[in-house]
Amino acid sequence: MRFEYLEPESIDEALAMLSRYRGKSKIIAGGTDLMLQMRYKTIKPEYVIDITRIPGLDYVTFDDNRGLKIGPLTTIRDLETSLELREKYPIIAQAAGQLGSVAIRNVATVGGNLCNALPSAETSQVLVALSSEVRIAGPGGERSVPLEDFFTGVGKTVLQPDELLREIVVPGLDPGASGTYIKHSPRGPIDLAIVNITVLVTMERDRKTCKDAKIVLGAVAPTPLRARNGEDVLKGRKIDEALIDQAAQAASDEANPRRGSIRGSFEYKKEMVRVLTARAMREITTKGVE
Amino acid sequence: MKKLIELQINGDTYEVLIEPWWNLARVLREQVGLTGTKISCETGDCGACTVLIDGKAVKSCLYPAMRARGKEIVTIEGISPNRKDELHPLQEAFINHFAVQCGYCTPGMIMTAKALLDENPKPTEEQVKEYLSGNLCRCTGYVKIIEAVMAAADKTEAEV
Amino acid sequence: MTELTTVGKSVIKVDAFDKVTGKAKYASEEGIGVPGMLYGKVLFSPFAHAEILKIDTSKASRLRGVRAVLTGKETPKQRSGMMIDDRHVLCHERVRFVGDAVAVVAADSADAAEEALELIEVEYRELPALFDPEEAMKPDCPVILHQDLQKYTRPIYGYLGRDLPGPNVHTHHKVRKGDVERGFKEADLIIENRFQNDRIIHCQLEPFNAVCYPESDGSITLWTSGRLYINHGPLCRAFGMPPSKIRLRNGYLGASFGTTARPERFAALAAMKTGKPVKMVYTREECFIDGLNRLPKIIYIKDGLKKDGTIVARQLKVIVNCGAYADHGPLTIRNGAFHASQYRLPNYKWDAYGVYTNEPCVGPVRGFGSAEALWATEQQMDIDAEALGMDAVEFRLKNTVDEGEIDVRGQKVHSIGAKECLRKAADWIGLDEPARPPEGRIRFGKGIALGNKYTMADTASAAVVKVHVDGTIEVFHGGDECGQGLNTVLTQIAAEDFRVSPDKIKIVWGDSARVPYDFGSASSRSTLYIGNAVRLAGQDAKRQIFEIAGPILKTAPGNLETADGIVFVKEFPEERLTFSDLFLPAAREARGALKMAACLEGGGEIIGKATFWGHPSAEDTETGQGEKLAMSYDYGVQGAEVAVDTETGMVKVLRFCSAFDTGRTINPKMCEAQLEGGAGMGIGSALYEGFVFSDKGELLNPNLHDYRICSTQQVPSGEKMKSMTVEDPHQEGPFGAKGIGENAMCPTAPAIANAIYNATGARLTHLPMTPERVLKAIKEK
Repeated sequence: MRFEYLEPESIDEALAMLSRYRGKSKIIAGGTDLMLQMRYKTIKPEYVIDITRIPGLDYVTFDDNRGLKIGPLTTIRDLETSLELREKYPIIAQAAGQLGSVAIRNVATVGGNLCNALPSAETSQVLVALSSEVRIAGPGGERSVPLEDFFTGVGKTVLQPDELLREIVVPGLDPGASGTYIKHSPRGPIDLAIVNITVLVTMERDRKTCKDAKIVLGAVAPTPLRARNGEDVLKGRKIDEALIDQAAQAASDEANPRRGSIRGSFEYKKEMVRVLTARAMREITTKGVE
Repeated sequence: MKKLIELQINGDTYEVLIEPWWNLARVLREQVGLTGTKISCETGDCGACTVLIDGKAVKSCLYPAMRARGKEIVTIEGISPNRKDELHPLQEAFINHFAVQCGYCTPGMIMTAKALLDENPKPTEEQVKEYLSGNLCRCTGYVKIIEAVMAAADKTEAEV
Repeated sequence: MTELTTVGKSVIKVDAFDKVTGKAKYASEEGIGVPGMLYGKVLFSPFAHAEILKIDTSKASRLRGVRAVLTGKETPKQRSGMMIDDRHVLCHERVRFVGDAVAVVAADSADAAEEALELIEVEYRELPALFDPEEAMKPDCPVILHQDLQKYTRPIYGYLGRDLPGPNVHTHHKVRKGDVERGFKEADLIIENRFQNDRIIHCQLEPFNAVCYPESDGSITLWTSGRLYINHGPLCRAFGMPPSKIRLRNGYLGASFGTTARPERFAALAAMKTGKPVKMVYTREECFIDGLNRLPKIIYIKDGLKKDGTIVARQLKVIVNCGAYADHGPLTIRNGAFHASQYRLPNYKWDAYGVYTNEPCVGPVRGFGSAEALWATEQQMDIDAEALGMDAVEFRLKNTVDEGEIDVRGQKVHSIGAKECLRKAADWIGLDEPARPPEGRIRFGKGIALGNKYTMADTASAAVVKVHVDGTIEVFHGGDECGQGLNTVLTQIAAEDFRVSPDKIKIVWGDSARVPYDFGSASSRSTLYIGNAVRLAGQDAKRQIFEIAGPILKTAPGNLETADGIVFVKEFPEERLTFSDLFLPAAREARGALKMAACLEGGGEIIGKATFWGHPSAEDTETGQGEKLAMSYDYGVQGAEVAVDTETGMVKVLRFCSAFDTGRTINPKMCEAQLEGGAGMGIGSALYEGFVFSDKGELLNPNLHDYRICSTQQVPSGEKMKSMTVEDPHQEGPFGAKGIGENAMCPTAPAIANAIYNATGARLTHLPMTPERVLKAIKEK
């Protein structure tokens, strides 16, 4: 792999470089995905644009509406350890803590994790469950895209070659919302997931009826998959064991993993979606009832 | 086209000539001559290449050397001076608890453990295992490594 | 008997300081920064089976910085191998697995070498490929991988090439005792099963690497990350060069577990062709693709049992998928038969076949044939016990051989602490206690397994001990320090024999020009063989010391003893000399510059030398019987407590113990460390590790994220991991000691399988026991 290493000091400079070397350049942030892909020659950029020296892109801020803004260079470790995140958006911290090991999390960034667009990416999944939006900066200005629509395939996003991810915006969370992230892998966080799921359930004040549900599945489709049928089973209904099993089965039916994956067979992945969605639901509803 | 860069390593300044695509692990070993840091997988899985950058554990095989300019890098050579009786408590503990077999994972393991103890001076056994989960060892089964880290934590705490 | 002062103590490892400070030198460090060094890369075949029609290296050769591009025609015409001469250094007309070596590039930078690889154009004609050994071994198999198999020479163990049932079968090993058919007729119960294990690999942390320096006299100095003499012979044969022309060197090994050198021959080839030094470092992916694997076996086992709990007959048919070239396959297959020696088997039949396929090659991986066999037989023991209504430990105790018996191979049993190990391990793991009650979908269970590992009798070690004028005792050995602590053990042994402190001992190893011949650190033999050689060489040195000192002290040499660098009369210890008094400067006529002469008055130096070899008997080629085929066996039991998630198939090892018979524990902490490390590797082999191939024979997980070795989270620690040793001294071991390194992972997988069965009633016969396989077995039971 041979390339020139560019270090813009502002977003405008970065955008100018992306335009000038359109299609021949790649942005590097944490580098934990990109360095590997370049060594394996799955991508061969002529210009690598290191944006880590651009100030002001590393932040987690909470606004008055109890919403959340995350800068793209925020490290996964910072997401994991932020006390405020753990309190207000615990599934973000929870999922972040299951990405690899500490040394990886120290440099990997949320922007990189989203833009690398693996269907099992930790932050992709929980941020989709939280109905996040991303702000994209490009030569023509900025645009916003719901995160769910940001991913278009394995490793593919709506980002044009001359655009970069500017910010992640997460709306305020309903006080009755409770969620969990489960990563199913043989050795735990250091492994790529066989299957991972995020379930975010908002209960009515009676704490028994489901107001809203989000079920997001990873590694069972080319992008993070909203299991809408599973969600619909739960919405507006009183949660009980039978309903949980029904929702889990519906989610499993929606999962469409690639056949021949070395991490898990088609049948096993679908079965794990069913088992783990049910477990996630039980975990949340036990929490909620308390 | 090679670039001449400056790196701050173990408190010293080094001037090295590098290609912009070289990772920090290679540059440490081949350009700077600090071969304590090891390369084993170059995919960020094994941790043998772990160094500290601005105090944080980083897998240097995935870290562009270009990015390391202006940062404070500490390698295994930088946590102990040359004299036998001035080892870092972790190094002493690894020796005394038989936590070293072939030794190839040892530098990376010690650097990660140092980052842990710098952050959390009195970790539980579970916390040690979790923090070191990104450092693979084929020889020891980790048992004595964990023992050594806990012992070093006790010793450091006793001294403070 | 004098009390031991060093042997038996947990002496701090002599290499630990260098390793914790980053000073330790591995082959990886060799050649860095050497001006004029070239960097080598290998082009591997992308096809499992193909003819090479044409190779065009012109573009690659023209790339700036490239100094050589070599193909098969630049390599010797003769084939060579470990046991069968079936392989060229680079492929000549055919490639036989994805990973077969086709070309070598040497360039003035690693980047240029890598780029040049992409410019080599090879035209292949694909041929049908074989991946199923049971298909490949058929007599009418239409695809034949080695047309000239019958003409290949076999440097050693040639008798394994008889009675071959098909054109792709290169090895057939037999053991016969008694009459199994009669035994099965006598049996009250017959139990038949099939077991299988996938490929695993050493996965040592230091990637394979080598540096070759061409010398001006036509010889080469070759640094290897692998073992010394084990690789020396094959390299000499591959190039048709005498041993004196290849100086092999190594430093500390970033572990071995039985690895065999791969980049060495390519670095040597490039260095000899270019006349320049060449460094070749494999990527982790290349280590997977071109490394030797543990034998993938299919085992058909049939036991005949009597109601009283004895095994009256056992039969094994073992089919080994040996891959494209035989390499270590034949010996590993043959040696796998040793696993059976722990039980009384009056009627026994073993047939093990090595089959060529278009998969990677196989060789010694910790356990060298025994581990794979025990996967089957130690589960079979639990199955037998249950069928008989017997306790798993009682059944083993009843059938384990005792000291003095003649075993299934015709060898007298000696030094077998197996029964004590069974009791200790079963007790610690709590096998008799009622199982923990289930928690939701989690089921708990415990299991044990008894393993053993032979040390080959047909090997030798030579050692040299040199005593210096300043009292330093230098020990030269040809073994390998791969982290097991060999240099520390030898330091302890020499320190004990000379009764000095360990810091007076200096170990010299890792250079075929300086150290005597050794078979090498393999077969769990180093402590026993090299320890003995060092003891004998030390005795020889002491004899020389006493012969010089005797006349000076006016007594017969037999009345002398030594300790702390002093030679003294046993009965009158004040009558004494120091070592320096034995040398020329102490002589009366030594004047002037002679005061600095560090030699003896006569005889030059105090150099003790000795050989220790195994005096093996012959092996009957039809029955596999022999009075002394193994030098020793070490025995060990491992126990595991597991938690099985019956909805996901995930298995967690909660508690683990080892109880091993070391013969004599030279360094207790180091033994513990071996047992813990064996547990780690064993748990990996049991639950997480295994090669996955595409249907075209490409390895799909040649990296450390998809080939999963244990991390800290998979191995019990602290109070949950226990390592125990028992000592049943071996009459031929130094201080009674035997080996431990390999057996440390031999019983692990079956112990865990037995625990999973006890937890769930599901029997796993295909290793590794991945979550998917466990879940399937639970659902289908």
